[in-house]
Amino acid sequence: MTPERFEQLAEAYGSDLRRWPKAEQAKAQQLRQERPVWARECLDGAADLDDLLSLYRVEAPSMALREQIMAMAPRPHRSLWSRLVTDCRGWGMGLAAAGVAGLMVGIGSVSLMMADQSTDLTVASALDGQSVYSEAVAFGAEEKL
Amino acid sequence: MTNSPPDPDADLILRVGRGDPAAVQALMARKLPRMLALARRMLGDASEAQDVAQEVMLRAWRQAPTWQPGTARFDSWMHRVALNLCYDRLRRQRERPMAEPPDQIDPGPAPDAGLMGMEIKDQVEAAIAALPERQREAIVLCHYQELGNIEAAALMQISVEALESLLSRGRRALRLLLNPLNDRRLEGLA
Repeated sequence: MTPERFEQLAEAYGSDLRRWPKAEQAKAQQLRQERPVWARECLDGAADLDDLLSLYRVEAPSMALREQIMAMAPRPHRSLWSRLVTDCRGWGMGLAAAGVAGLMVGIGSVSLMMADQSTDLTVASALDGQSVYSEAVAFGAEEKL
Repeated sequence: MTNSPPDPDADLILRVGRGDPAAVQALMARKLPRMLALARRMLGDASEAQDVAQEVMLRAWRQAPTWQPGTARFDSWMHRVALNLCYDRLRRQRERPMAEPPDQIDPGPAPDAGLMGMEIKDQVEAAIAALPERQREAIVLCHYQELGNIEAAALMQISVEALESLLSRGRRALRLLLNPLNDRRLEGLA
């Protein structure tokens, strides 16, 4: 590599030889070892600008931006069979839940009706008892008389 | 058969294409900061850069299921999409008519005088924003995105020699703009 080419590369790519074209890195390294003082002077000029450029840092993506992007990210693909199984399982669960709910409503209605009937009987027997009591009172009164 | 090295993202993209949630997270962690940084330095505006980075990621989600490994690196494809979106926005900025033409000369400080009043980091940002677009693109791709010269030249659809010329001119312009800063920085270190 010629010194002119070395200067051109430093001018274009900066002071870090790792940023230089891969095909020319080894030759540049060799020239740097052969002419260390000259090479250092050449690279120092480029390094000053590299240092300034490195001050321009960009803020990390915000959580809000990450969340917005994730909300639109692809979901896992499901095969037709697994969708059918899952859906049927879902339907089965739904039907079972509906059945249990129906059963509960049924049991509730029956017990309500039975409760109504027993209330009627209790009221009736209470009324009956009252009439028996009044009859008894009346009978006692008659006896006392 | 191609001699290009294997795409380091190939396996991840395959998994993203299948909707693997861990791969989706990993791709975002790997690429979103890169795309945001690229757009931020190309556009000089944080809000517009976020819009561009989001759009690139959404297109990556859509592209992943049909991605053909071996055609190009996925990272290069994402850079291409991001640059196209940046250039669309830069074009719109140029074409946007001014609401009202200025009646008189702006009494504020001259642009170069403005640079002197800013923090060093802001001055570097302003100097990069002041570069012609192609010089800025070359420096952003090679210096900040750390792309190789062949990949950067291919993205910019120019020869490697033309890329080197853009880089040299861009760095010379930056040195002129930032030299006083460098002197101040060195004085501060002394």
